[in-house]
Amino acid sequence: METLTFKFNATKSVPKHAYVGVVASGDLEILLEPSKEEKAYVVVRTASDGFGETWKNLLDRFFAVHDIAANIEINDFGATPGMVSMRLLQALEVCSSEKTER
Amino acid sequence: MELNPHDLIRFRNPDSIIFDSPKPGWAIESLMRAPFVVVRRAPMLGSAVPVGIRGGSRNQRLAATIELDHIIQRVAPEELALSKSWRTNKHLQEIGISYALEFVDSLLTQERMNWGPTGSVGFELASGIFTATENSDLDITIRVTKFLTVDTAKELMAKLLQAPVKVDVQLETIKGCIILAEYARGESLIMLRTTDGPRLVKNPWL
Repeated sequence: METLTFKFNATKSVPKHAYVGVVASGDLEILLEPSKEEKAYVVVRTASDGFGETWKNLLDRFFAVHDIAANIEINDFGATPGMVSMRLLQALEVCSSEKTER
Repeated sequence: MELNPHDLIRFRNPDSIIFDSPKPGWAIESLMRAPFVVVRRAPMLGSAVPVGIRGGSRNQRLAATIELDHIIQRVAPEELALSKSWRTNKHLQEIGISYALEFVDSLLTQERMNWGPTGSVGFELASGIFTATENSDLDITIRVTKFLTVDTAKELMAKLLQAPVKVDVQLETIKGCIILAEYARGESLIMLRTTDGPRLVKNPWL
């Protein structure tokens, strides 16, 4: 079990929170709360140790394109980088949509 | 030979397992202990089957491949459920998993669903090697070829909550696999895991 933290500069605010993903092996959960600060804070708790560099590269790429101001918690259960990227885009979609869910 | 993700395959010789990267010690030990690997959800490369090696701890998982010729047996999760071999597995009885398997089997048989144990429990049932522990969840796969409503998924979740251990369910549709717990939330998009990677879809059966 490893906890990794990351900080990014952010310019875009998002209207609402998001919760996506599941507790399942090969998957992850993402909890996203909009932030008033012009920063994104990401905390990753992962069951797979030793992938700090992979997480850094993946999040660098994501926030280079989507610099959203948010506090993000990720609980990872051994997801592949492809799965992580899809879930981040899903969280972005949910937190950016103005209409209420369902 | 038809191979699906989660199938356990027995190999002749640990040397027939091909690694992309240098072999960690735990992986070699694991191959020596039990001659089984698990089919991964990834594309076949010619006659090379994508497989995963499981080590003793949760983060010990490694991707590898094996040539079809080197496979001597394939055990599908459904076969493990049909043979009910947990009834004669002392270790699984001791750690309480047998009761959970019995519960799930009777529930899903009643629901007329094809299912099978995967993860550590499936591995132990196929190989006979102690793999599951007292802390293990029960991972299962259910083959659902026809559309299942979200309401039915919710009811199934509620029934499975009565099981003596936590049951994690993957539904295998004709297009790939989804997680029951996610589908039962009834959101507009669901993650479908396919051999070509994950994608978000509206209907995982279309």
